[in-house]
Amino acid sequence: MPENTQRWTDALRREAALFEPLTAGARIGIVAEAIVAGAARASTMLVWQREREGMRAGVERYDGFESAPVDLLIALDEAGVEGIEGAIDGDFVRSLRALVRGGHALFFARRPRTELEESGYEDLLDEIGFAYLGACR
Amino acid sequence: MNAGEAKLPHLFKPGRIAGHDTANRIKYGACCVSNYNDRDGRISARELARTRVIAATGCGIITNQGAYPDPRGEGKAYFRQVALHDDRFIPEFETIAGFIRERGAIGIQQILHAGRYGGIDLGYCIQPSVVPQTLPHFRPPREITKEQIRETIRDHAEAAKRAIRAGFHGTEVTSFMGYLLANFNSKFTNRRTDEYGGSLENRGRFMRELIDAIKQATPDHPLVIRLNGAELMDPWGGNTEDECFELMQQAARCGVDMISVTVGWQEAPESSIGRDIPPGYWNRLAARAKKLLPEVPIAFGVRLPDPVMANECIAKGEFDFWELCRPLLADPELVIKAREDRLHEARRCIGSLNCLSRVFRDLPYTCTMNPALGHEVEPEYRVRPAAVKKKIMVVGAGPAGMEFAITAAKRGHAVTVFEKSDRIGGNLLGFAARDLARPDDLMSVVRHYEVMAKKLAVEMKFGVEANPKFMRSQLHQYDAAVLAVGARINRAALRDIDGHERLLDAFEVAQGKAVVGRRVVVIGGGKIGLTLAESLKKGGHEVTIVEASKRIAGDVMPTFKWRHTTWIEELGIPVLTCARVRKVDEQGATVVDDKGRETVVPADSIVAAAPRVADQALFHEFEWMVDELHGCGDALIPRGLDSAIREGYRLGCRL
Repeated sequence: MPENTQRWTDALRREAALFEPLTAGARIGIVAEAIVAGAARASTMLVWQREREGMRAGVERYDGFESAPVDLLIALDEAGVEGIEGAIDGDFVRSLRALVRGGHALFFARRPRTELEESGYEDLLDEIGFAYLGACR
Repeated sequence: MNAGEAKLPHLFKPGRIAGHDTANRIKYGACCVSNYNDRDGRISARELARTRVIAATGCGIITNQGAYPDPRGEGKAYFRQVALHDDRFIPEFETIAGFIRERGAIGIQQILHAGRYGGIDLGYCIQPSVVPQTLPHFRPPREITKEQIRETIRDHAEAAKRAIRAGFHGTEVTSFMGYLLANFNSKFTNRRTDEYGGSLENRGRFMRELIDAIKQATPDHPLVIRLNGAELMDPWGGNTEDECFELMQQAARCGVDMISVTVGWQEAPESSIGRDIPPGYWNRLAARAKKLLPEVPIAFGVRLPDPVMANECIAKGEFDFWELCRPLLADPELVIKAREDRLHEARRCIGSLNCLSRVFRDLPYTCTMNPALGHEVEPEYRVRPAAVKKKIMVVGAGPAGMEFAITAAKRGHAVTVFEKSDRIGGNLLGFAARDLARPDDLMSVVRHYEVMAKKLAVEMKFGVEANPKFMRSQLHQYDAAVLAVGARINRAALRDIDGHERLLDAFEVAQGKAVVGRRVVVIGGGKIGLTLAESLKKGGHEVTIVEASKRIAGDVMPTFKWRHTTWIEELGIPVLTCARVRKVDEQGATVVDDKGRETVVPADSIVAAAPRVADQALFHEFEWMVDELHGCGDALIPRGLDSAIREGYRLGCRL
């Protein structure tokens, strides 16, 4: 996964309006799907965190999604990792949306919907195309 | 033999399940749950009235909706799901079993432990391993212990015994949609390292023990199992199709009496049952199950709404029983109409997924096409002979006007519909033809009204523009008038746009009354604007959408929002949100964003698809011209098909 945190912080701040509704402390983790699947349990994850002055990217230890200290965990398959890395200096939100739709990115919600809404995630999740309702479709 | 039975001989031939004869090869599927019941799981009067209708559908096998089996509520997926974890619930199940037996059908009670999607009243759900939710509607997971596994299996067996005591012939367990059974079977949610996880044999252990326990508890009664032919979770580590079929073999070896083949989990990244999936798309999975397990009765009906197609599938040996639910929500008489060769009169399920949209908002399910669904207990929703037969004029032959017209005609009123165009359908016509999902589904609504108007002798007068002059010519000829003239684009609200006279009307464009140039700007990213923009783009136009709010698809049914946003992206239609059109001229549209920045979008045509306003002028103009004046549908508040049909029906029942 990309670990160029400064470039990611810059990217997140370019999209400040989208992340602005998040409450301070809101955290999104991004890991490679292979890690989630258990191929390498102890690894690192990219974390997008909302701080008072704005969004900041960081890298943290990942010990499995049971204990990942994030609100949402985004798991990317190989094409997903490639896609998001390629979009770091461009429209990465659009890329992420395309990856979700293409089945290359999967969200794990570590908090229930009501709590996510209270933490200001609604717009962001809608923008990214997160299936909010159950997809018996 | 009825004419329909002769036409669909395979569907209507008798069947057999575990020694029980069935009248035909049609199984009412438990589908989802209705959310009509009490919060503690007791079956309500509303549910009983509904199940009486279900029992009368003419299906050879009737599956009653899934009851959660555990007293803790870990298996409870829906706020008003029925429970079967205690004897106190039995009396209402007896009533339902009685309804089914009265009709000569085989009654099957589904036992539904929702696993990953359960614990709806709790702060957690249980599943084989802690795999966080991909849909935050559901509860955070806890790993089920071995003792809890044993307890859960006992709960299922006890619930099965209660179902049989209540009078059901048999029971059903389900892994459809990602419930507990599916959670054990699937690699996606089962990451255990004990004897219940790991190999396919181990993952199937819970299922085998469950089957065994129910079979021991109810040895003389059929047990049906619903198993995925495809989870659609394989991109995320779920089972492959091959593994799904190996699990079916395990279930068959354990002696299940029928396998119902299903498709998809709720959280699967692709569609399984929506309007964008062609009917018959998944039939191959049933055929594979039948080939693999020729001795086991196979039931199937995922995205297979058509009895004619189902008849052909049975004839070809692809499956044994057609299992359906949503088509019977839309029209509870579908099977009866098929038997009587009146299929052309059936209301088709249009796959809007209104039902599931509501269930996942914790609301009782309803149906766009069947406004009485869920209201069977209320006399106000019944079509009963009118005490006073009236002569009624309807203005507008869209869904609201036509629904009213056929309902009122069924009650004995003499109904005349005046329509300014030359056919039935109103604004739906233009947009149905432009629907990217499946135009035929929406056109079926129009065809239904055409057939029923003829059958019920509703007088149709086309090419009539209703206005005060026309109304004066009709004075004293009608007892009541119903205005169902729909909505129109609110041009008054667009007068601030410089050059607004050049704006085209979305409804006129949709109906082909106005022609657009190659480059088009559509004002409004709601369902009208989106549908039009998508079809124009598909037809080769360059299209840009300008939407005032932050997001598009604000008025779209929740389960269809993602489709429109996906189509817009796939088609490459630029969307300018938080933006408004300031000026329209021969160059195109001058668009201003919420920061005041201006952009000129080159365009040959600018189409206004928003805002809409109810067309209410006639209410005032007709007020002193007729005894009773009513309105329904978008003529009251612009919304859409669902409310148009519901209000037309309600007014038809009342007048």
